[in-house]
Amino acid sequence: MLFAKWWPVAVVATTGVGLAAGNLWFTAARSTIPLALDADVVKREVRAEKHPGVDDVHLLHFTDGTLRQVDQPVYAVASHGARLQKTAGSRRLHIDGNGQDLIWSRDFVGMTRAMPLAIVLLAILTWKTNDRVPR
Amino acid sequence: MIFGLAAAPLVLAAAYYVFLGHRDDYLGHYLAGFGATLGTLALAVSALPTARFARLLGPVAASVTMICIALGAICESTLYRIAKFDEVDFCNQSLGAVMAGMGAMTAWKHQMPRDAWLWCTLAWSALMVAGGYYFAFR
Repeated sequence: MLFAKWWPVAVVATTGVGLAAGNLWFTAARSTIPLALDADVVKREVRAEKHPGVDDVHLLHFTDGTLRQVDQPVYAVASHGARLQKTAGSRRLHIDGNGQDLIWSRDFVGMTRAMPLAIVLLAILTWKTNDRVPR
Repeated sequence: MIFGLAAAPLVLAAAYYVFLGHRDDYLGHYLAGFGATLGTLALAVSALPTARFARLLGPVAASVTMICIALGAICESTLYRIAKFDEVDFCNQSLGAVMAGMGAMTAWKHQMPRDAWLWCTLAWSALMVAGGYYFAFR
């Protein structure tokens, strides 16, 4: 009975926490800081989005077949044919052996402030359904 | 009712505006996801039989929320796919849908939306969708 009472709230709230975590991960991954890299850039590409110049999508194609969206500062230093190397979690990107410091994007910094609030709000909403969840 | 359907989602919208103001399309996706899901929820829930409303609200609200998230993913990968499928846009619009689903389960747990409350909810959701389009495409 407890499962029948709580599964709708649990499913929706858990999904919300996962989406908040997704926002953090995807914006962090675009800086490449959490990623391990060891591949050559075979193609660079900028695709325009809704607001050209503001939300352009910067893409790097690698020799290992992966396609990564990266922040503009990473895109700017990753020239065609360059070998990118770094360990996961490192803020130092090696481009053909030359070190380059990485920074978190404004998107990620903003998400680190907004997404914890989202989780708190989801927790409050979950709590407010307490003992009055439809049976 | 006010907290679940208005205060909580607006607090998060304000956080998007303050902390992610340089990318107000994120706020736009969040508002559009919230408004579209809330409107769908209001119509779906108001069609439930009164006698079984309390029993069905949770499962119907959760199911509608998940369906709206899936429809949002389809829209993002087809209709609104400009440069590529944007994972962050998807997360933001889906988070809006989740806030609507949680708000519905909180706000309507005692009473189904009908008459004036139903129309107010539909007007509110339409306003949120319009706000979403404004911030996403301005």
